Amino acid sequence: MSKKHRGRIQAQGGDTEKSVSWSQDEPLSKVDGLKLLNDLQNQLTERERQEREKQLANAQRFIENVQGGIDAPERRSFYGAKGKSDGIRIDIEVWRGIAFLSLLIAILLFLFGFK
Amino acid sequence: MITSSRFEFLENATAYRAMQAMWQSIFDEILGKYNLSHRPYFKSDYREGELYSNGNPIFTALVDSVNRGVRIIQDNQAEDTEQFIAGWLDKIEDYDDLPDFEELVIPLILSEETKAIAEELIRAWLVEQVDKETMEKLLEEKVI
Repeated sequence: MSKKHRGRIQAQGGDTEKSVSWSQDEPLSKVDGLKLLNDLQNQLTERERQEREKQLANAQRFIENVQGGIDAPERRSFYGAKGKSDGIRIDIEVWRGIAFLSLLIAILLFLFGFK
Repeated sequence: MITSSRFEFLENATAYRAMQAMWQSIFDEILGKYNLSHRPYFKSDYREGELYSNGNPIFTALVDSVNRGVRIIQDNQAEDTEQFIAGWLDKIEDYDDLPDFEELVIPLILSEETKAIAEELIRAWLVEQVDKETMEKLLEEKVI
């Protein structure tokens, strides 16, 4: 049976396509979202990481700053002013459920069965 | 020269909604002539106080009959650039509440010039329905 909360964080553009994903019954917390972003960063080569330095920083600030979580369906793209049509970016995709709740709210929602 | 007023709509719900209404009119005008209807596929509501939420996206349009969508991003990620419009093709897939379809993404800083380019790209993708290779070439030619 499909999990209630699913999504993906992806590095795309410039011949790169690397991603991390989640699929679970409780909403993804901000802490776990930031860990996934860090996992993705660790998958990138030095060059890929340098090309996406600003994008990774913006994605991190976005996750940290979300208030009340992000409901599916959602996709946020973090891109650079340079890169033009090659689309060097970080995409955050929420396919189902909620992502980036504060840990306490995520636990309460899980325990009391909302969503 | 970039001035703060170019991003003022991101800080003001009324101005933000006016900007969305402008995009609604653009899509209605481009697609209406060809009886193509469109609907939003991602939320683009104004969100108070969040970083990189407002304008990302500012407007989305899915044309179910051609299985293609356009996502317009109009935020301040490119604020250190004077003129900016970019674009790439992507796929929407794996979402529970959305069909799978091909997507054109256009991030831009709005000016008369970038608006005209965006309109041309939207028309090519949704009305003329050019293939992906042709669209990639067009994007390379048009982005600033």
